Amino acid sequence: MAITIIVLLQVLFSYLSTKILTRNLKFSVKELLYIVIFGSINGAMYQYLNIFTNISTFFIIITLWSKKLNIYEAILFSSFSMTISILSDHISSFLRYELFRNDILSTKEMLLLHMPLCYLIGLFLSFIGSILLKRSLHNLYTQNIAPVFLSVLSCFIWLTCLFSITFVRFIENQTRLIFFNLVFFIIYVLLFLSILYIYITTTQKNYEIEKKETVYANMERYTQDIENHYFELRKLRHDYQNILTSLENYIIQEDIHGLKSYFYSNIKQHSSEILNKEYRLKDLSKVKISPVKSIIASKLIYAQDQGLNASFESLDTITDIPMDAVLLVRILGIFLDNAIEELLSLGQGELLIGMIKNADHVLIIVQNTCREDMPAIQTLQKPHISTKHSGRGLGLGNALEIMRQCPNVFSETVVENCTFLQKIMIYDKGGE
Amino acid sequence: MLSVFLCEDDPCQRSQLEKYIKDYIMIEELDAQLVLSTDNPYDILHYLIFHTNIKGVYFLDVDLKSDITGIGLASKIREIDAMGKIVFVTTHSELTYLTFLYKVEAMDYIIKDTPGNICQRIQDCLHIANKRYLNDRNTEKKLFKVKVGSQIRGIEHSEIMFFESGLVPHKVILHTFNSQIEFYHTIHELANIGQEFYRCHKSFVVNKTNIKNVDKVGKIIEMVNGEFCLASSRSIKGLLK
Repeated sequence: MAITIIVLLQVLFSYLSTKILTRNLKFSVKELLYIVIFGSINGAMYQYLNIFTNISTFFIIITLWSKKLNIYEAILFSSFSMTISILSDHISSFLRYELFRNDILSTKEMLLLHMPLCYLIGLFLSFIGSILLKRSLHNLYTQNIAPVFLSVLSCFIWLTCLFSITFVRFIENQTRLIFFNLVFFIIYVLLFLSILYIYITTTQKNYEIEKKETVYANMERYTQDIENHYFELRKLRHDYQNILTSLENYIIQEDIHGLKSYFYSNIKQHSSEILNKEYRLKDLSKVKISPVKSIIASKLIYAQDQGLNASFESLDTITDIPMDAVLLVRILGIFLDNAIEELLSLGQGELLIGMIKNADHVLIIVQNTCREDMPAIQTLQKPHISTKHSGRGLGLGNALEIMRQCPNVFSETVVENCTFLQKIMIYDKGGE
Repeated sequence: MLSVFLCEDDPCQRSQLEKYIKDYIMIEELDAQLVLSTDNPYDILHYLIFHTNIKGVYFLDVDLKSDITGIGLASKIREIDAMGKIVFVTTHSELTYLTFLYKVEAMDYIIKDTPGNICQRIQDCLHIANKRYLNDRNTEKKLFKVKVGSQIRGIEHSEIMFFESGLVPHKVILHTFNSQIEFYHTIHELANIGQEFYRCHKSFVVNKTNIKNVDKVGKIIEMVNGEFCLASSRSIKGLLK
C-alpha cells in the first residue's frame, strides 16, 4: 500500500516538474485526475514492474503532454523531468547519508525525511531547468534538426541516468558494471562527434546560403532593370504602330506636304529620344559568371539611379574567369565603389566597365573620370582620408594587394587626363 | 611614307571617305598616300602580307558585312603592323569604346551618324597619325620593353620612377609618373637596363634621375611624382655619390 502511495507521489512529482519546465502552471482537474488514476495503477503494478516503473511513469507523462505539445517537445520535457527526479532522489540519498549517516530507511523515515527533501531538490532543479531550456530552445528551433535531436538526446540522458545510477544497485558483478559503463561512454563519444559534425555542416550550409543570398539580392536589381526595359519596349512598339499608320495615311492621301511636316516635327524628334536612350548594360548578358554579373549589375544600376553616366561593354562572351569569384567580386566592388564615389563628388563624368577576352587572358577594365589634382597612386593606396563612411572602408590598397597576391593576375593602374583607369588581366592558370 | 587604308562596305560612304582623305593629304602635302580603298577586309590583309615595312593608318568600318568584323580585322592588322594607327568608323550604337582602345589599341573612332562631322574627324585623325609617325621616326629614346596583356609596350626610361618587387615571386611593379604596372621579371636584372637604374633596396630598383629627395635617416627616397621607395643603409651611400 505504502509503495503505491510512494509511486503515486513520484508520478505526481514528475508531472509537477514538467509543468515547471514548460512554464505552464495552470492545473486542470482533468489532468490531475488522469495522473492520480494512472499513477495509482502504476504503483499497484510496482511488484511486477519493479524498477521499470520509472519507464512507465515516463509514458504516462508523455501521453499527458502529447496533446498540448508536439511529440518532440513532449519527449524533451518528460525526459528532463524524469532525469530530474532520478537525480534529486539520489542527491537527497547522498545528503541523507552524509548528514545523518542514515542508509536504510523505514517507511516512516522515507515519507517524512527522504521524500520531502527529494522533492525540494527536485523542484529547485526544475526551476533551473526551465530557465536553461527557455534560453537555449529559443535559438535552436530555427534549425530543423534540433527538435528531433534534442528529444533523442534528452531521452538518452534520462535512460543513462536510469541505468547507470539506478540499475547499478542491482548489478553485483563488477565486470558487468564496468562493461555497461564502457558501453555508455562509447555511446556518449559517438553522440558528441555527431553533434560536432552536425554543427559544422550547419555552419557551412549557412555560409553558402548567405553567399547565395547576396548574389540573389544583386540579381534582383538586374531583373528589375530588365523588366523596366520590357515595359519600355512595349510602349515603343505601340508608338511605332501609330507612326506607321499615320505615315501610311499621308502616303495614301498623297499628302507630301503633310508627310514632310509630320516627319520633321514629330518623328525626327521622337526618334532621337529613342536612339539616345540605350540600354547601356545590354552586354552584361554576355557575362556568364553569376556573382560577377550581379555585382556589376547592382553597382551600375545604382550609379544610373544616381544619375551617373555608367555603362558596361563586352563584345566577347565571358564564360570563365580563372580567378576565385569571391576575390574578384570583392575587387570589382572596391573599384566600382571608388569610381561611383568619385563621380558623385565630381558631379559629372562617366564610368565605363569593359571585358575583353584575349587568347590567353581575360582583360577587365574599369575607367572613370576623376578630379584633376589626384594624388599619386601610392598615396591613394593608403587608408584614405575621404568622405567615405567607415564600415566598408576598403580602399585601392586592399584591392591591389589582393590582385598582386594572385600569381596569374596582373594589374595596371593609370591616372591621366582626369581619368582613372584600372586594368585587370587574368591569365589562364598553368600558363605563365 | 604613311600608307592609308580604307575598308568600308557601303560604296556611297566609301567614296565620300576616299575623297576626304585624298583631299586632306593633298592640301596638307602630307608624306602619305591612300594605297587601298576596299569593301573586302581580306584585301588589306593580303596587301600587308605582300608588302613589308608598312607604316599604316587604317580607317575601318566596324560593321563589314563579311565573316570578319572590323575589330577582328583590326586584331589581325595589329599582329602584322604593331605600330599602325587604327581608326574605327562606327555608328553611335556600335561604339564599343573600351574594346577599341584596349583590345586593338585603336587611335581613335569616328561616328558616322553625324555626317557633318565626318570630314573634320578624318582630318583630325590624319593630322595626329602624321604627327606620331614623324615623332616615331625621330625618336632615339631609350625604351624599356614590358609585356602587359597582349601588347609589348615601350616605356621611356625617363618616365620610370622605380621598380618594386611584388608580393608574389617574379612579379615586379613598374612605377611611372602616373601609373603602376605589374609584370613578370626578376628585380635584380632590372638594375642593368641602364646607367640611371640603381638597386637601392632588396625590393626596389630606382631611377636616379627621378629622385626628388633622399631621407638618409628614415632611409626613404622620395620621387618626383610624390611616391616613395625604400633604401637599405648600404645603398644610401651609393646614392649620394
